Amino acid sequence: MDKKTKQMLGLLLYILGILALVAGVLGMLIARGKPLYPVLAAASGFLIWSGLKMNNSYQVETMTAHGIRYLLLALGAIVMIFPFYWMISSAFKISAEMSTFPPAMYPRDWLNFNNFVVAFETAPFARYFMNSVITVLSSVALTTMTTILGSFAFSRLNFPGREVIFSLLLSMMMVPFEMLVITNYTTIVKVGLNDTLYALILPFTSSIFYTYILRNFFQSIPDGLYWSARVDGCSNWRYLWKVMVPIARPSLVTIVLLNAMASWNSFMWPLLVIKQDLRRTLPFGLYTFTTEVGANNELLMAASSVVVLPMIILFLFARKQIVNGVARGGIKG
Amino acid sequence: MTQKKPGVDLFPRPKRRIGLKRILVHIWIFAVLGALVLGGGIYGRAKLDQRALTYKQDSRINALHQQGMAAIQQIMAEAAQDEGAQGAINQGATTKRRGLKNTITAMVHDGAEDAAILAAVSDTLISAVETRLSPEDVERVREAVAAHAQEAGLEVSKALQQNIESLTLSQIRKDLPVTTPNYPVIYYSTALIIAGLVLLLLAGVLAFIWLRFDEDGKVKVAEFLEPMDYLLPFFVGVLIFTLYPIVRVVIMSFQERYKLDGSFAGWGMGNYQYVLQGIPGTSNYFLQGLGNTILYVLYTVPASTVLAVIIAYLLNQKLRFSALFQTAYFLPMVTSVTAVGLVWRWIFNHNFGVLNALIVLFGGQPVNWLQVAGNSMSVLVIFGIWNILPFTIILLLSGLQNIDETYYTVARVDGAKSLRIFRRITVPLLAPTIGLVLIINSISAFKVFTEVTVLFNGNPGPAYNMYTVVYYIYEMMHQRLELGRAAAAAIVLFLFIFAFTMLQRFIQRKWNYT
Repeated sequence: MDKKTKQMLGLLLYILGILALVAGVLGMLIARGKPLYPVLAAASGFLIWSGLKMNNSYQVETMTAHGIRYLLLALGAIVMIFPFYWMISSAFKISAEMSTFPPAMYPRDWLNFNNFVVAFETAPFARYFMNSVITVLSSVALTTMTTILGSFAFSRLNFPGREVIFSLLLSMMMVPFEMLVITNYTTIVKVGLNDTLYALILPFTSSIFYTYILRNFFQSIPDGLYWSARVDGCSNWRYLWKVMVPIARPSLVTIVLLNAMASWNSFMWPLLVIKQDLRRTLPFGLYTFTTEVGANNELLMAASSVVVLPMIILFLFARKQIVNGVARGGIKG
Repeated sequence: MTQKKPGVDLFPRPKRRIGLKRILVHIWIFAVLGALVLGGGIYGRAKLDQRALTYKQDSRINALHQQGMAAIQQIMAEAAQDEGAQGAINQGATTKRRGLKNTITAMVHDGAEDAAILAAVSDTLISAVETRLSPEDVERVREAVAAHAQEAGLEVSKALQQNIESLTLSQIRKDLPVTTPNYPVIYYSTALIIAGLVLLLLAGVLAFIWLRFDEDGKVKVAEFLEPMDYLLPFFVGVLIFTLYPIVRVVIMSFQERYKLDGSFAGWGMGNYQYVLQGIPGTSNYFLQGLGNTILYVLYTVPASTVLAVIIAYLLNQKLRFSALFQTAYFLPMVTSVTAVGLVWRWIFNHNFGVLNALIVLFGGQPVNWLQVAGNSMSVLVIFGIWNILPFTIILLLSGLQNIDETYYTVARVDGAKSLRIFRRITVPLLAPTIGLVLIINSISAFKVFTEVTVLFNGNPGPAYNMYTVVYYIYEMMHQRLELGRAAAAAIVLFLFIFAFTMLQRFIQRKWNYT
C-alpha cells in the first residue's frame, strides 16, 4: 500500500468515524435504551483515532484540534448564555406555557409583552427604575469627582505624609464592606437619612480602590509635561482638567463603568436602609416582587429582564473597557 | 505693570505660581461655614434645653398631680376614719382631678413653689368634701391636713427633686424621637458647636497669617492649602464611611448586646462568646454559617479556576467570532446577582425547571433542588461557579496574554504538541496568576450573601441549613437588631479575609521578584 492510498483510507475512516459519532449521540438522545447507539458512539472513537493515525497529515490533525476547540467553546458559551436566553424567552411566555414539562424551549409568541405590562402594573417598577438611575448617576458623578481630585493630590501635589497616608488608605482597602456596613447603618439611622435616596448615595461618594487605580495612571504621565505646563503659566487646576483628565480618559471610563455596575447591582445596602416601597432600587424592588407574584414566574422573568437589560446593553457597547478594567483592577465592581 | 507690545512675545513672564488669593478665599469660606455650623449647633442646643425644660415641667406637674394629690387624699382618708366618709372623699377628689391638673399646670408655668401648689391642692380637695361630709368630719379632716400636709408635701418634693435630677441632658438627647424636626441638629448640637468653633479658629489663624506673614510665608501656607483642598471631598467620605466605621465596629464588638439606640449591657467579650458558642442546647448558626462558607469556598473556587484555565486557554488562541465568545463568557459578570439568581431559581424549579428536564432527557429522576435541605449546597455551588467564572476567565486571560510569545514559538519549532505546550509552558508560567485568582476568588466567595438570599427566597436555605457568615451578620443586624453581636461576627469574618490578603501580598511579592 503506497502512502497516498493509506492517507485516503485514513481520511475515509476519519469521516466515517465522525458520522458514526453524530449518529450515535443523536440516537442515544432520541431512541433511548437501544444498545446499538452507545456501541456506535464507542466505535466511532476507535474509527476516528485509527483514521488519524493512518492519515497522519498536518491538515487533518489541525482541523480536528480546531473542531474540538470550537465545540468545547461553543458548549461552554451555551451554558453561560443560557440563563439569559431562558429569562427572556420565559418573559414572553403565557402562564400555561410555563407549567409544562418538559418546558417549551421558546415562547409561542415572541411579541407577547403582556407580562411586562402586568409586572409594571403590579409593582412600581418605573419608580424603582428612576430611583436606580438617580442613585447610580449621583453616586458615579460624586465618586468620579472625589477620585479625580484625590488621586491628583496623591500623585502630583506635595504635602507632608503623602506616602504614609496613602499606604494607610491602601491597607484599609482589605476591610470588607460587610464589616463597615454595621456602623454605616447606625450612622445613617442616627443622622435621620434612612429610607431616603441620600442613604444610598452618600456612603459611596469616595472610593479608595478607584483612587488607587487613577493615581497609578496619573503617576505614569511623565513629569516633563507637568513642568512645561507650569512654566507656561498653567495652574494646577487647569493642568488637571486640560491635560491629565483628557489623557486619563480610558482609565476614567473604566472607573465610571465599574462604579456604575456596582451601584446598579448593589443589593445588601438598599436592603438594610430602605423600607418604603417607593424608595427601592431595581434589584431590591425585584427581590420583594418575588413574594408578590407567587408562582407566576413569567412575570418575575419579565421584571428580571428589565433589571438586567441596561447592564447587558452597557456591556455590549463597552465590553473592551469593562474587561480591561476588571483585568487591571482584579476586582469586579 | 506690563504693556501690550506688538509682535510675538518670545519670552512671556511666567505667572506667579500659586495665587495667594487662595488664603483669602479660605478665610471667607471658613468664617461663613464656621458661623453657619456654630449657629446650627447653638440652635440645636437651645432646642435641647427647651426640650429639657418641658420635660422637667411635665414631670413636675405629673408628680404634684399624682403623688401630691394621693398623699393629701390619704391624710384626709385617715382623718375621716369611717368608710362612708372615705368614699365621699374619694368621690370629691375624683371630681376635682381634671380641674386640679389645669391649676397645677398654670401654677408651674407661673413659677410657683411646690409648697404653694400643694397648699392649693389641699384647699381644693377640702372644698370638694365640704358639702359631702358632716361638719365634724370636715373639721377633723381640716385639722389633719393642717397638721400633716407640710411633711407629706416635703416628701413629695424630695422624690420629685431626685427624679428631675436624674433626668440629665444626655439622657434627654438619647430619648429624643428620631421624628423630631431637625433631629440631627439637636442630637449632634455639641459636636456642631465644637466644629463651628474649630472652623472659626482656623479662619482666625489664616487671617492672622494673611495680616502678619511676609510674601514667602504666605506662599508656603498657600502651597500647603492647595493639596488639602483637593483631598477634602475625598477624605470626608473616607473618614465618615470607612475610617470611623473600622474603629467603631471594633469598639462595638466589645459592647455587649449593643443596640441601634446606643444602649448596651456592658463591656466585655460577651458578643464573641455568643457568636462562637451560641446559646447552649440550641444550634449555633454562626458556626454552621462558617462551615457552609468554607465548604462553599472549597467547592466553588477550585472548580471555577480549573474550568476558567481551560476556557481562557482556548479563548487566547487565534479565534474566529472571538467577540461573540467573549460576550457570551463575560456577560454574567455585569448582570445583577439578584436578577440572575431569580432566573436560576426558575431553572432549578422542581416541577417545570429546565435543569430537571435535562436530567430526565438523559434518563435521570427529577430532583427537588430548592426545597430539600440536602441539595442546597449543590444549588449554591452551581450558581456560584457560573457567577464567578467570567471574572476568573478575564483575569487568567490577561495573565495568558502577558506570557512571552517566544516560549510558544520555540516550543513549536522543537515540535512540541499543543497538549504538551499547555502542560509544560502555559500552566507553569500562569501559576502566579492562578494563585492570585484563587485568593481573590476565595475572598469574594467568603462574603457570599446575595446568592443565598435570592436562591432561597430570603431564607438561609429551606431548613435554616444554609447560613453563611455574612448572612448571619445581616440577620443579627437587620432582623434581631443585635449590632454588637453582628460586629463580633464581622470581626471574625475580617480575620479570615485578613489571612487571605496576607497570602495574596506574599504571592504578589514573590511574583515580582522572580
